[in-house]
Amino acid sequence: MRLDTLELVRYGHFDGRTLEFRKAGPADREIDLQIVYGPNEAGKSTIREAISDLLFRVKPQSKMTFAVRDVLKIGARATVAQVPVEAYRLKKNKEDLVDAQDRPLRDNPFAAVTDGFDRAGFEQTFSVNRKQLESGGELILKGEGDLGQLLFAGTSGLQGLPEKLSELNERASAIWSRKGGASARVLVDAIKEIDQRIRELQTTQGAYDGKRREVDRLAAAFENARTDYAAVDAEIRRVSGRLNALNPYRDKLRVLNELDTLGAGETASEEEWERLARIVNELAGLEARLGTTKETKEALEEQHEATPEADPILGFRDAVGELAKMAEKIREQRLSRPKRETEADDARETIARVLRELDLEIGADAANLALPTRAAGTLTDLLKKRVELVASQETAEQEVESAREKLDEATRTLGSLPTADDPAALRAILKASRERDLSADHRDASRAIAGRREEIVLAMKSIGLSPDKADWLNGFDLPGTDAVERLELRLRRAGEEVGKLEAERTQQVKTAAAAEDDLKSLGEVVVLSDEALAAALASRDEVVRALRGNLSAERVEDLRGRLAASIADADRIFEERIRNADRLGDMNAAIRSRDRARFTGERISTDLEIAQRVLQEVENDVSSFVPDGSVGVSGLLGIRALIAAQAVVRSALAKVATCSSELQEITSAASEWAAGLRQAMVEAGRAVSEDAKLSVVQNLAEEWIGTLETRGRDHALAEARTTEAELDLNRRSEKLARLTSDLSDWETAFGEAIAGTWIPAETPPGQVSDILARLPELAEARANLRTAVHRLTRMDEDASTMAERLEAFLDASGIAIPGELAGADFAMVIDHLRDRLDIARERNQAAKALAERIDALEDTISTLGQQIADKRSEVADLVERFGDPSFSELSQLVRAGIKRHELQESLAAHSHAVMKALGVTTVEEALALMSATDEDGLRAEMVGLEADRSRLNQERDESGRAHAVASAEFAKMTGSDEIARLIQQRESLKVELIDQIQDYIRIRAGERALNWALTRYRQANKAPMLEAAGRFFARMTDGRYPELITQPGNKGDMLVAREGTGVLKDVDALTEGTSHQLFLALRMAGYLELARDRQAPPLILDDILSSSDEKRTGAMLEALADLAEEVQVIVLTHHAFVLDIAQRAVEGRHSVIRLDEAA
Amino acid sequence: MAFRFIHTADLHLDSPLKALRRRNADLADAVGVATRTAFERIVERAIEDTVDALLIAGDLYDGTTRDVSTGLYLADCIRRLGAAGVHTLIVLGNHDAESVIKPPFASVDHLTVFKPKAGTVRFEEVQVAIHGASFRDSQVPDDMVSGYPEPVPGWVNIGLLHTSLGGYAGHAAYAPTTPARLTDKGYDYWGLGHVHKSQVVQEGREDRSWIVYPGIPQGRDMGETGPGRAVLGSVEDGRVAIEWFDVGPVVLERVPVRLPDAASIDDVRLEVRTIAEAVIGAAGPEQSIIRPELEVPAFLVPALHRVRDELLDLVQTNVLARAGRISVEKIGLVAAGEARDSVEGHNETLMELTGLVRDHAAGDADLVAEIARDLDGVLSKLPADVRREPELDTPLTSLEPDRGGDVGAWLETAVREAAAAIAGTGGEERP
Repeated sequence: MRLDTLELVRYGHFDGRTLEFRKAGPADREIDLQIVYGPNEAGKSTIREAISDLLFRVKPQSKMTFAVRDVLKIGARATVAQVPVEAYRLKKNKEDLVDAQDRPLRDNPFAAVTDGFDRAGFEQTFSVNRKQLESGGELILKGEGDLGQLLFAGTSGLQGLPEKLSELNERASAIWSRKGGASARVLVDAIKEIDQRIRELQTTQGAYDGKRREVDRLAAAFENARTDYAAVDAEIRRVSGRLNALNPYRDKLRVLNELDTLGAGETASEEEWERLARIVNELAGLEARLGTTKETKEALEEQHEATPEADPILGFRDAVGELAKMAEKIREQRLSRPKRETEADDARETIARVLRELDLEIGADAANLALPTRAAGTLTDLLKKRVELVASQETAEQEVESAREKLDEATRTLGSLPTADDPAALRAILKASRERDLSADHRDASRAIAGRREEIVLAMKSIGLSPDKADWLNGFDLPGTDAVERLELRLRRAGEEVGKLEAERTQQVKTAAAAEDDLKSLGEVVVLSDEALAAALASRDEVVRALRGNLSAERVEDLRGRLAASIADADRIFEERIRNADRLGDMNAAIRSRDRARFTGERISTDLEIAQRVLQEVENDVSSFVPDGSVGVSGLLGIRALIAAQAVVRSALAKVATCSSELQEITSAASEWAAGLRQAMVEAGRAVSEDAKLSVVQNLAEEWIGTLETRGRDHALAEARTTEAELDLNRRSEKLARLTSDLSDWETAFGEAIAGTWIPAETPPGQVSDILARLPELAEARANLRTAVHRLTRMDEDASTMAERLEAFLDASGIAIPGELAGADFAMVIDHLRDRLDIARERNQAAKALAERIDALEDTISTLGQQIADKRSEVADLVERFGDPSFSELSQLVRAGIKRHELQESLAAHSHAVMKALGVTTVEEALALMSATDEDGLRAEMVGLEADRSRLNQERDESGRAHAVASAEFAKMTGSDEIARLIQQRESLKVELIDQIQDYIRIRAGERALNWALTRYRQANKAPMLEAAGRFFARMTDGRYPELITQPGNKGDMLVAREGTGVLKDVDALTEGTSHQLFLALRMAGYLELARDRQAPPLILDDILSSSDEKRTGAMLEALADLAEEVQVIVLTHHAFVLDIAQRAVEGRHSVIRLDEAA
Repeated sequence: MAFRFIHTADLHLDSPLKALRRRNADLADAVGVATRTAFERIVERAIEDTVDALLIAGDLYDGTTRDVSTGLYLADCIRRLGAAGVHTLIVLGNHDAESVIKPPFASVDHLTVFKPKAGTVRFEEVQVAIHGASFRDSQVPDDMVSGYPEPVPGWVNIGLLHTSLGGYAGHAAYAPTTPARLTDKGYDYWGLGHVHKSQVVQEGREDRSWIVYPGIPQGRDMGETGPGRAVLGSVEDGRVAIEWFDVGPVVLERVPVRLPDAASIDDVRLEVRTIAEAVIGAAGPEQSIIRPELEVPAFLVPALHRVRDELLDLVQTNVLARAGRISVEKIGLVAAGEARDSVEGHNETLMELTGLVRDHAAGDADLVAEIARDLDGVLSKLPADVRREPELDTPLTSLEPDRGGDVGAWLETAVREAAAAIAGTGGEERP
């Protein structure tokens, strides 16, 4: 695309301004370099913005409307794909591309230009500003002469691609392990945590069914234990009932029998009796209470005495409690044992599976299948390193192969070149032969001879002689100039005389004519006379002309004759007519007049004749000078011509003679030089024909020197290339050797690294890599296994510790355990101890309570004794008053009555119990049975039963506890939604994780593929772009760096500049200014590369020339002018000195548009 | 006397919602038990309306469910129904057959779980017969209808069946049948399950039966949008009538938002309010999770992809400013126009690199293997079920031509995004 004009209709501070871009240079080689100059604020940046706005669209936030009357409008007349277009852009959301009349355009005429670009990408690609130039130069100087990146930056305008790709890589890595955020790793950990929690909470169908069956089984066991216990307990009660029933019942029966002996007391007054009865009653009550109390006390004392010694276990309450607590903990641990074992099995299975999948047969303990972090890290690093090394080695091998091929090719090329002789000698002779330009001399001499010969020919031709008469003319004796002048004088005078006579005769003829007019009436006589006169005059005129000219003498004579004849004819005819026409009145006058005229005419004719004779004589004299009739000139003029021609001929011949001599000398010299050159040529290996002229030989020599020089250069180049290829091969071979050595080192390091691990030494790296990849899984399984095993071990240890502590305790405390518990599980022993402690504690508390009660009863007895004494004292007064009955009788009577009643009641209760205990219905039967009962047998049976009951009690309690635990666990298996919530949390984490991993995958794959494509791109674009960039760079550096080439570097091909001397210079060693030039050259080449394949806009260079010195700026302009021969280049500048430099550097090859001038 | 019933199916109890991201923490509580809540609402409605029967046409829970608490919960609910006099009738679907969970139904009264051999439950007083048969295995390729009992003459006959009903592509292995065959059976109402979209396949008349899919009560992903519903049916004078009621506590919706004129990311940012309003417009009275799907010019898609999270925040903030019960799931992107047009960065050189990848990268086995190795390395760090997700499995498949992967196309997509990131200009103006 070419911009022909830019129409700033209403845009920024421009109002109706048109910028016209005219090409410079001749029509057949037009140059499209446009320098747009405007001081600051003149709108230079506006121009750049305007072009982008036109091609894309006006940004909504555009500020270019601030100074316009109406809406913004920008347009252009341009040529796109050889088609002229005119289009304008308005600031609108839709239909913003219009024609000059603001009618919307259906198709975008710039589509082919902008296709494939957005605005930013477009500006980046097709324009260069100062900042880009500087950062591009910096990129080069930073040592990043990586060709691929530079070519890419050159074409795309995008710099720093490696950094950007690296950023992408980091972005991908950060997804996995970014700090302080929800990285993928954190999400994975969170998911694993939830999975662990779910596993803990989850109840599988199998677990549920198993637990249900266990609860049922334990319930049945508990029920059985309870039944068994109840049965034994009932039996104990029965036996105990029998034993307990015997003695008290006998005692009660005896007391009851004693009551029969008691008689009735004395009768007293009603009032006294009542009083006595009351007192007796109260006394009886008190005594009864006293008796009861005493009995109770005795019974309690008996009981107290019967209380066995306090169990020594009571002294070890805390120790037993501690043991029980530990035992409880171990019991809980035991409950979780199956789960731990399952975990261990799972972990083992995982490890085994992973090992199977890894195709590993490791004899080592699975729990040791881990690598220390450092070893794993080392191996990972080594494997990564190996991948790099192997890749580098492959590359290096290819490079060596390629370098070797190049060397072979270079050697072949060198071998195929002909030997190059030094053309110095030949050049010296040639130079010497050219010191005098013999050709030019020869040419000049020949030209001079030819010129003289030409003069001779012309001179000879002017006198009607052939050129070969020149020598004759040269030797011919001609009068001198003075003689010719004299002749001329005579001739002039004779001519004047003839002229005068002729004039007179003309007068006479006129007179005769007048007479003739008078005689017209005479008809044809006059006519005849006139004709005759005319004929005579013509003859005379002819004669005169002949005299003045070069008429021959015969011709003059002939004319004169004809004149006389004409006059005679006229006279004759006139006279005949006069005779025949006498009627005319004034015929005589006419005749007289005519006669006078004739007379005068005759006289004049005579004079004329004389004059003519004189003239003839003179002419004869003149003719005498002319040698013969072969000369094509006559008369005086002829003599003069002859004289002139002779002078010319003489001079020319003299010159010709001189030149011929010179020519001969030149020819001779040329022959010598030619012979010398031929000889030198032969010596330089080139035969030349003997007859070849000097110039031919010189040309051949020059050509041969060129050939020899080319050969020499080719040879030198080929040698240099061979050397370079050798060096390259050496370099690459060294690199390969280094890599091979590195690989060998690597093998050693790898062997050492692997030797420190459990991985078999012969495991190939690939498999080690697989192993490392699976290490987390192995580590997790191993950790699980270790945890589970550790827990199991700890359980066992705890159990063992427990048993030891128990044993220690038993030893230390001296507490004996029942024989049946010998060798039993410590838990059972501890349960036993706990129960025994409970019982001892209960007994102890009971004994204490008993003693307290006995003390209390003693107090009561004492109190009652005092009360009874008081009552007795009171009753004694009464008995004394009544005299007869003694108090003791009364008291006895009352007490006997009271006691009888109590005994009867007690007996009734006992009777019932005894009947029941003994299984009889009457007292008699009971008594009979009691007398027959074996009390010792019953006691022995009781001991056996109590042992049974203790055992069953334990069984019942244990099964009850087990049932309770199982039931509680079963009860925990509910329709809880906890797991559902956890799964939902997990799902949310998973969705997020998938998003992140998708991002990771896309970014990582994109980055890898882009890197790959970049390498390809470099290969594809290297040659044409390098060639073009090299050309521009050479121009910009004024030939200091005639070529850009590549050579292998650490990061692939690197760009190197070749100096004119052949020295190669790394681009990062260039000066800052030169690096800017190199970057610009690359951008120009990139632009050219793009522009060859598509419709490209003008290349816009914004203020890039101001930072360089004049020489450099001029050189850059020259390069831009070169580019402008192919494409349109617009340079924006606000420095007037750039215009001055352009004027000097690219005069006539650029156009200037000044924004500070009116349109 | 009228007979009333509720027909539901595909409870998928305790199945998680795939549409919820962590950012929607406020919703997490509701969503965590959404499938239970939906079923809870059905149970409550059954008890409140004192219906006679609750019919469940299969798929009580996901086939992958391993925890019995789901079954225990279901059994509790059915126990509650039984206590209220509601008889629950269940046919097991493919997921149930697949599942290892066996709820403790033995101890539950008022429950009928149909066997694989079809059976009938008769409601004598109202002369209604309910027929059903369960899936024996997770796949039943045969039409099960022929095995169903003949209708009880003079009674209202209801069939419960888990079926893909033939016409639904991708469901062929699930007791396929046709509406015509169902009608020919002579039942009055076919209560179906398996298809998650609620619909009346055929309206009941004198000569033909109702055929109804109640749909999933609670949708779980963006393929199951709209309110979850159940059918309330009544039988009176030998005729069946139905009505629908909503049960799902969380409604999922996708709402298309067309932005054909957007030329840059900023243009899309300016439309956030429009997007938010579309989201609000698509939400129902329940808690809603909405995915706006932006239809934008293809070239904008990769660039928008990079700022999708930012857009999501913007839209969510805008939505929350107007309505509190709506959560924006994510921003969907739909490319309008030619895919080829969607070159990121709009830099021709980058395009050339993209083209190189598209046309030649697939042929470089080393490159493909290197990328595959890298992806494998990352995937191996993930939990197995995550690794198997199609979104992550597909890239790997794409790198394996033997498995039908289009390596070039996939790499091209990846490179476009990378190119967009590198150019850093994606989404700027375009002619």
